[in-house]
Amino acid sequence: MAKGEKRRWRGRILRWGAGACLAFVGVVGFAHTEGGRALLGYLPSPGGGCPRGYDVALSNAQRDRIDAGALAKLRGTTPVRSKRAFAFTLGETDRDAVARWSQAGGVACETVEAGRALRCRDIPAIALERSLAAESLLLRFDAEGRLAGVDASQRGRDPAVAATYLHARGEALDHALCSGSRRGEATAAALTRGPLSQAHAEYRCADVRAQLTATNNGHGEYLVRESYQAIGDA
Amino acid sequence: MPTKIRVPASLFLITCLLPLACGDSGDTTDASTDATTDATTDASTTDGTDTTAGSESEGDACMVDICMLYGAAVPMVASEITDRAANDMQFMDDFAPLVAEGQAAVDAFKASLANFISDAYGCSTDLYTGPTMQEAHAGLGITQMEYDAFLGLIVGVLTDAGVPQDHINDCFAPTLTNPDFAATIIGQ
Repeated sequence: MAKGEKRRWRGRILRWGAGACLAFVGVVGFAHTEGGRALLGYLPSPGGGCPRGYDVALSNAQRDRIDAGALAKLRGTTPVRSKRAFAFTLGETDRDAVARWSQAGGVACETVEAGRALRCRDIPAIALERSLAAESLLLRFDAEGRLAGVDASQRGRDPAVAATYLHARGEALDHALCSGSRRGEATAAALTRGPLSQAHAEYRCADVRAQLTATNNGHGEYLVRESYQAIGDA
Repeated sequence: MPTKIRVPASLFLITCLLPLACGDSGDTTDASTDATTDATTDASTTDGTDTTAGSESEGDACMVDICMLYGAAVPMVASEITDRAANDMQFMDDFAPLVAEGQAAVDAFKASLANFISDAYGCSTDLYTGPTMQEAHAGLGITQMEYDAFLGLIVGVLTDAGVPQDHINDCFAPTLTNPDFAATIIGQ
């Protein structure tokens, strides 16, 4: 093939390639506009939307509504006695207060969930106002910047520590929250029965839902989780 | 306080499970029916998705046929796992986009999850047609703690569904706590 002809073919391929790319970007872009959304219905994705979920950009207010809807099913009838959750208060504590708390306790936190939440690491027990440290603490805020939920997780290899904490904390929450329900025994013997043995307490108050769980995750590891969630208006 | 924004590692749930919804939204009633008949067959999907990573160790202590006993309940369990994840502090943010898409999307997700569970326990073959676990979790940096928290959620569902403690310990735990299976999700 002559040199000039080769150059012409290369040019054609490049032009076709660039044209195809532009067309693809254009179609995909148009499909994500209000007018072109029907195109997404031809794709095999749940709900007929963008298979990557890029068409579902939720505002903080929308997320609050979704969270409230999910939690509304768990709403109890008795108002919670106290909205205190660790060193915080649901519905009151704001980001500035958490920033002051983390600074005072030397706790490192980072923004997660597109700015809606903070993830803190290695929190000493005293900073949480409880007897157990936490490897991880997740704090989620509502659209107005108030604490909507908080979740502490701690792993350990001693089932007695997990069981003792769960038992004592459960008794304290019985008085601090509202009447709760229990599943499994909060004893070391019960947790060591086998992998995925679990003790659990849940409190479904009118305005707060709290969970306390110790799980044998196998391989000699026990995870203690304690979470509090404000139940807003759905 | 640092305010670095990063991709939430807890996205594991949505990326572990949501892609399943893209793969198969078939009738889960069929899945549970198959569960009682295909108990001994291997369940690697045609696209190379090995959904039986943990099944080899299952059965040593398990003295019951879990497919026979629980196969019909798999769609209900998958539905409950999804609902609980959607209101769990650690996972609800990941599920919000799915919930926002409406009940049809949530139902399709539940159906696909049921297929995955059925295949994972060897109760069916090739019902799940989504991506491999490695593909679904690539780049997410899922931690062991997040994985463990999700296991805790599953235990709650199984217990409330009436599964005896012995069956959870001996029949369900081997697959879920199998390091080889966990490694397909954690740290990808």
